Order: sequence, then C-alpha cells, then structure tokens
Amino acid sequence: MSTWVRNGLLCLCIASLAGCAAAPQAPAPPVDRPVANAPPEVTSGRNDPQRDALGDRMLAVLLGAAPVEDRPQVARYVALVGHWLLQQVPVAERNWRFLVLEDAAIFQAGLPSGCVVISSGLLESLQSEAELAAALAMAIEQVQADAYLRGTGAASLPGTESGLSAAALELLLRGPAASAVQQADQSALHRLQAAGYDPWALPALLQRWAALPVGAFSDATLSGLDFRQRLALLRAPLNAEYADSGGAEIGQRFRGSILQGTD
Amino acid sequence: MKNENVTRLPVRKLILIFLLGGFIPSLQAAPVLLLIEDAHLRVGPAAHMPAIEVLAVDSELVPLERSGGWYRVRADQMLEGWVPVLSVQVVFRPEMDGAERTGLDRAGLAAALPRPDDAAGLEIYTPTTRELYDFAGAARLTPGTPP
Repeated sequence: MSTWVRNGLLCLCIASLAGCAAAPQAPAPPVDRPVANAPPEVTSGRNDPQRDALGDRMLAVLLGAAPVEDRPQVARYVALVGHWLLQQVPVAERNWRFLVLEDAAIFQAGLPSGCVVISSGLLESLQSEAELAAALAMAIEQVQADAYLRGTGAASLPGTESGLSAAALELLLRGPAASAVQQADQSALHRLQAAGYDPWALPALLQRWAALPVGAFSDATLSGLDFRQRLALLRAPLNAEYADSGGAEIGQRFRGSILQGTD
Repeated sequence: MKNENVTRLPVRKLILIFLLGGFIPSLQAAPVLLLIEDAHLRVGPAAHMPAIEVLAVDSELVPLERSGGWYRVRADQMLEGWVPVLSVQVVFRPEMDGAERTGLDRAGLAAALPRPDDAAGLEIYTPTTRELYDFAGAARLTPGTPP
C-alpha cells in the first residue's frame, strides 16, 4: 500500500477525534542537545573530508531506513525549486543535491555534505511551492550552519565502518543543533525573499507543523527547539524586516507536479 | 499483473485529489485558527487598513486564504476580514495522532542497515542553469530584494 493511500486512510480513521491546542510558549534561548557517544573528534566545518564522510554515511543510514521516492517528476520538481534557491544567495561549497525519500513521517535534513533530504510525508504537509521552498531553504541553511555537527568537537573519524555508521546514526538521532536551527530559520527567510517566494510561507508552515503531534515527525528532524519556540524567535525579524513583504506562493504548479508525479 | 496496474493508478490518483482538495482533515487542511493575542479584524491585509472589530484572545477563526503576513478569516457572526499571521496559531480538528510508525523514526533509523554503496552511487537530478530559469520564468518567479 502506498504512503499516500496509508495517509488517506489514517486521516479518515481519526476524523472523529477532537483536537486541542497547547498554549503558546514564550521564546526560549536555544540549547543544543549533548552528544553522548558521538566521536568527540568530529569537527564543525574545519575538516571538509571528515564532514563529507559523515554526511555521506548519514545519507547511507537514511537510505537503509527508507526507499528513494520513485516518482521522477516529483524528484525533478524538488530539485528545481532547491537549485533555484541556491542560485539566488551565495552558498558554501558543497556537493548540493536534493533527494526525496518515501516515508510517511515529516522529515527534512540538510546533511553536512550538502545533500538536502526530505520525505514524501513532508510533501504531503505542504500547500504550495513557496512552502516547499521554505522547507528546502531551512535545510539549505542548516547545512551552512553545520546544524548536525555543531558542538561535536574536532579531530579524526572512527576508524571502522561500524564506528562511522554509529556516529552517523547518533548525529541523526540527536537532530540539528537548536542554535543552528534558529540561525537557519532567519537565513531561510532571506533566501526565500531573494528567490522571489513569499517569506511568510515559512512561518505559515511552522504554524501548521506546530499543530501536529511530535509523532508525525521523524526524530532526525526535531531539534531542541519546538516549532512554537521557532516561531516566537522569528517574530521580531518578521515584524521588523518582512512586515510588508510578499512574493510568489504558486499553489497550482505545486499540486500539478505532485499529481503528475503519481504517473 | 497488467490488470492490477490498470486499476491501481486511477484509485491512487483519486485519493490524492481527494486529499489535496481538502475534503478530509488531512495535513493539507488548516481548519481552525486560534487567536493568541487580541487583534483587529481589518478590511484588508495591511496594518493601515480600517478595523472592522477587535477580536479577543482565544477567538476561533476559519482561515480562508493567506496573503503575505495576513490571514483572511471568517470570525463569529460571519464577519470576514484580515488578521496578522503572527497573532494566531493553527489547530487541527481532529488532530493527527501520529501513530503510524515509519522507517525514519527513532526505531527505524536504529534498525537501518547503512547502504554506503547506494549513497555513493546515487544519481540525483541536477538541473542546468537554462532549465532553472525556464522553471522560474514559467511561474513569473522573479528574484526579490531581501531586507
């Protein structure tokens, strides 16, 4: 049974349940999660081969956990939006790629090597191309902010294949560092605006994600900041710099590309 | 085998259309907005537009559309107007329970057998510059000037 069908059935099954909203939370300073067993020697951008090796191994773990999305039109569409975002504001030198995995969880990761990975579950949570661009822009900026490696130390990698895989898994389960996520969210607004998309698509997306239970998300996507905290931290820059900003939303092409991709 | 394929695709497509059309409370829908602070309901999406009414915190609003930093909403007594995006939070009714487990959750990742050869040999589409500008031009996507 495909992910789309499973999600449809799930939504039907819960249609009679009542939801409730949690009270909004005040912004809190981001606190990065500690890394208990990750190699203390892993650097944060100072050693490119190590960074890339870890990023590649994180991708290998993800590929072992979920298949690559098999709709080529969807993969192509995501890549076009992602590379358009890269084109508009200078980015760090990485092997930039955009990959969609088939999985019901909402998943988004900017791996240290430059591979941005999202899930089909994330695509289902979106309403427009601007929101897709927002999700990709956040991941791009997390790559640039060394979100998965921040605060993990310096020096050499584990010498064995299993050690490298264990380190990659630990980094994924730790999730992106909260301080990097906060920085990435603000940079993503800038990138969205530069690419012609409505920057307000980003807080609108975070608002909807904030209304979903934590279980709807992959553990590797969640940071020390919850979505309401991220929204609260964006409030000041949004009001100060983007109050009168607009841009493209592009709902029709988004829906068309997703539907076309089912063939 | 052929017959299975012929019947499977339309069903899959219908379900997708159903989901994207917002006919059920899926992830696509944002059925209720809850005010997290008092806010003016305005006739247009800007702070200088005249206010229709002052809405109290915890008011429930039905979202109709979004334009930049403003939602057009329907309030009580069928009043329609605009409120700031940052004055509301989204509430799904019913809420997703998130009970479906996936390969990318904690247990799935921990059980995953890493596939470094697949990662190294992965072919991922990369557009040319010309394709990018055609893509952007088709949607009249023009680069803006960030603040």
